[in-house]
Amino acid sequence: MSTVPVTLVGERRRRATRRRSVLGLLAALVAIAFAASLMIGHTLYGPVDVVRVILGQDVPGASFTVGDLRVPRASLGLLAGLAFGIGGVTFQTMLRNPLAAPDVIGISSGASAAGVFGIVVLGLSGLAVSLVAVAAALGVALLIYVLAWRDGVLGSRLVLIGIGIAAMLDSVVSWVLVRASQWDLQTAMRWLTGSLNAASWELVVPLLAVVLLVVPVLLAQSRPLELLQLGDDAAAALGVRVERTRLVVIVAAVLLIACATAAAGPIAFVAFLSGPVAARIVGPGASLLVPAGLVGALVVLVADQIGQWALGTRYPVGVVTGALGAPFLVYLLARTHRFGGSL
Amino acid sequence: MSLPGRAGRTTWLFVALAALAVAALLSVALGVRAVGWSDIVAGLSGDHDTVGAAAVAKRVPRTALAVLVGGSLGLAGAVMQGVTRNPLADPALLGVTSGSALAVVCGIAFFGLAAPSSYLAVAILGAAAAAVLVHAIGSLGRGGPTTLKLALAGAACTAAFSSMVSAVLLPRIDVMNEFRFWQIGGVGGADWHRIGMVAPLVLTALVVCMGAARGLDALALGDDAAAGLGVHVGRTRLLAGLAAIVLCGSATAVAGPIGFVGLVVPHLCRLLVGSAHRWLLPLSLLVGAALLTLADVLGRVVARPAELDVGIVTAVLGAPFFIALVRRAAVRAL
Amino acid sequence: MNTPGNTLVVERASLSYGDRPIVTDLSLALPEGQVTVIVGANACGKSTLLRALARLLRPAGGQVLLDGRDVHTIPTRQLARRLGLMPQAPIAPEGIVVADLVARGRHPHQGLFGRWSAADDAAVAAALEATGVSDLADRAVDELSGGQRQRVWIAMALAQETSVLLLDEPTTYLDLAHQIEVLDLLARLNAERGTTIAMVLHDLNLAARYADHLVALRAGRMVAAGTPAEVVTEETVEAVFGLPCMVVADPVTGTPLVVPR
Repeated sequence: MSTVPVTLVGERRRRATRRRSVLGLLAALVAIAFAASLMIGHTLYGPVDVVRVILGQDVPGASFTVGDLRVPRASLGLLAGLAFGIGGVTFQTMLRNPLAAPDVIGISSGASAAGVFGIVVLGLSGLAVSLVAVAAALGVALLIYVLAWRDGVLGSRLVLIGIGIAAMLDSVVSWVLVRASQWDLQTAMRWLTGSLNAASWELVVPLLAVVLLVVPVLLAQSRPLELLQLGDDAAAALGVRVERTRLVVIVAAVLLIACATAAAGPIAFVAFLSGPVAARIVGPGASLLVPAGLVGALVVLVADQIGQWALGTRYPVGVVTGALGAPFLVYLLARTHRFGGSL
Repeated sequence: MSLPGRAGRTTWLFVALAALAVAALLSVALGVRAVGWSDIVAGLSGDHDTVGAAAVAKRVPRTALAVLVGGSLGLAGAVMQGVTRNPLADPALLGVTSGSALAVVCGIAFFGLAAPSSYLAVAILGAAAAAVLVHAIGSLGRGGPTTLKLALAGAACTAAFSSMVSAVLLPRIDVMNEFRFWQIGGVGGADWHRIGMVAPLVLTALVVCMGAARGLDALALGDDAAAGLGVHVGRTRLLAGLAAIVLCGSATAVAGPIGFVGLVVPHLCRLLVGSAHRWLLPLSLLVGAALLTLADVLGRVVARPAELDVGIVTAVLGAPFFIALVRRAAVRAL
Repeated sequence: MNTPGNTLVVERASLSYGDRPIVTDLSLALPEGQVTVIVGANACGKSTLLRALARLLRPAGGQVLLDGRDVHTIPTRQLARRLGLMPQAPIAPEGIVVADLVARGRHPHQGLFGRWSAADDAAVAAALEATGVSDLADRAVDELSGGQRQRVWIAMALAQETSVLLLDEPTTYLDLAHQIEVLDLLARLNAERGTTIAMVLHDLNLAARYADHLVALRAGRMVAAGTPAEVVTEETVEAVFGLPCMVVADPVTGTPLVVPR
């Protein structure tokens, strides 16, 4: 056996080091955005006040504004962004297509339709809406999976069936909206777009639990997931149990997307765009789960600040990400198809 | 399944015509309010004296609109499937209707559009822009516009357009109110004025489509083979595509986005008369009209005393059909 | 039938997709350390047979045995250390560089959170070296020519360090010079490493030239098996491909050469 060329090992190490430093930088940016979300608002509070509030000390004014309003809001943004980013890139990697994000293939539509139905028709609010939405997203994902099953699940079939289901659910949503009263309509619309306005510990804690539970499962699957990108046959030849991996990964990713949607609404395009953005940043050949999660969190935190303070009226975060995301999406579509590649 | 000969195909055309007549009759006769024969006869002869007769009279333009819209969508779907050689082409799935929706919303919100005639122009422009965009995106890269690429491009653009629609709507509750009734897709608010506005457009597009029938047959063999047969590929595609866009743009303008009719109808018709466009196109027109009218009747009947808008009915009935098509398709065709 | 000389054995396998039977009641043994080539007309089931050998397809009847053990009872990762496959249309993730792609072949040798080891580096380097793509290690796979890309995929399968390597039409989409290049490479690997190779090939003359053991299929059944000289006869070629022909000796290698009449 020949000796290993020094350059080969050197190159691999160099790429690994670069990936690590980019990840570190992303994490630092997320931390800065999170800290900024705690300090910025109608009243600006310095880092010292914020830290004292977090440590549980009583700071007049800041204790309520920061402790009860901004910390839950920023935490919700962080967690939802993380969940959307990781859940989205999981779908894109698994289906080998950057367009096959949960927003497009019906998963988010399931949650939205159920959420709006819950608010408008059943008159639910708060946690009940969330539960209905999570259950519906899981149900829809299961339905798509079952329908796409014919001698195994084919990626392209799953995508097309998802698109069909999404189209049906979207029309159900618009039908429900027609029946809504003015007040419900606006609540439902905000819920359809994605917003952090309702942030409270009641929403943050369950989401945190799900993220802590599910993300490690996905991370453990990250290498089989990368191998699936080479095609089902190649992955199986390398010792990946294709169907099992796919099922575990789908359930985990759907849970993330569903719970984040239930807590914050389907914040437009975060699940869609985090993966491709992360791929541009960290370069090809490595798992995108963590970087996409960080990008998602960063996008949501920054977009929420923009929506609240930069545009005159207060817009929910989903409008900002939607407006930012739509042109980027078109660019991405054009680019991906030109090169005919995956992420 | 063996294809019927000329006589068989002509028979199917007449069957479809008869079905359309029955559907139209049902549409006039059935509704939230149950009416008797005398009321129907009175309503149809322009007599509005009894409540029942007045209700019937109101159903007449509604029926006419359903026929017009259904026919346009069925025909547009058949043409689009021919032009793109894509069995899953449908105006709604390819993002064309959401393009119209975005254009209409922007028109209402930013340019103060109120007249239905201005809706029409804006909706057609939006449909055309969206169709061109989606097709351009779906055709990039290796292998040209494949089914999967086009469907994804359509779905992704739909997502983008809808999120822009909500960005425009959210701070404008008044527009939101007006828009949501349009967005759902229905023929309930029909009047003769609107029908008169759209009818000439639809008829023109119909003539253009029929003229392109032979060209579409050749296109089915692939661009190069079609060119070899002496067909102007670019011109046929442009004319037929434009006509299809006008058809579904006008249908969307008067009735809102209605999905799946354009998908389902041509497939049914292909089963009946085969894929020759000079038979397929007229049959799609008739069957589309009959189906949409029936769907509208169904929506009025199942949810009494409320009404299900026809867009909901077609989506709920059409999606399973779409899924069945996808499941049946060969792996490589995707 | 499981003689020590055969690693991978098919016993009376029937293969089908859904309800559609493709291969019926077929038995086959891959001679250890030799190159086996499967030939046949289009849609005769040769790729299906290869998929069954690679345990990607579960036989409806019969079984596929590796060292006497049903491949479907062997844990997938363990099997992947013995049996490598290069599928017909593998997909390279956009922008991935050659070294990273080849490194993915090391998956079956790593634990759940397994760390990259010196042995992994050595295997990747050896695979790049053996396929002659060491110079391309840092290039993106998208930028390579068809022949180079094919060698990279073979390198990935080599990094897997299996004793059996299956290839589904490794020469598709390649021009003649690149076809020869790839087949020479495989012949060399077989000679130097003793890897048992089985592949599907379209071109009967190339198959006759590179095979130690040739298997001819027709409509899902085996028509002939043996050395190229035994299999490539005027009668068999006519039976398998329906093509009247003359068989002459290849002036370069002496292997049988089919000349259509």
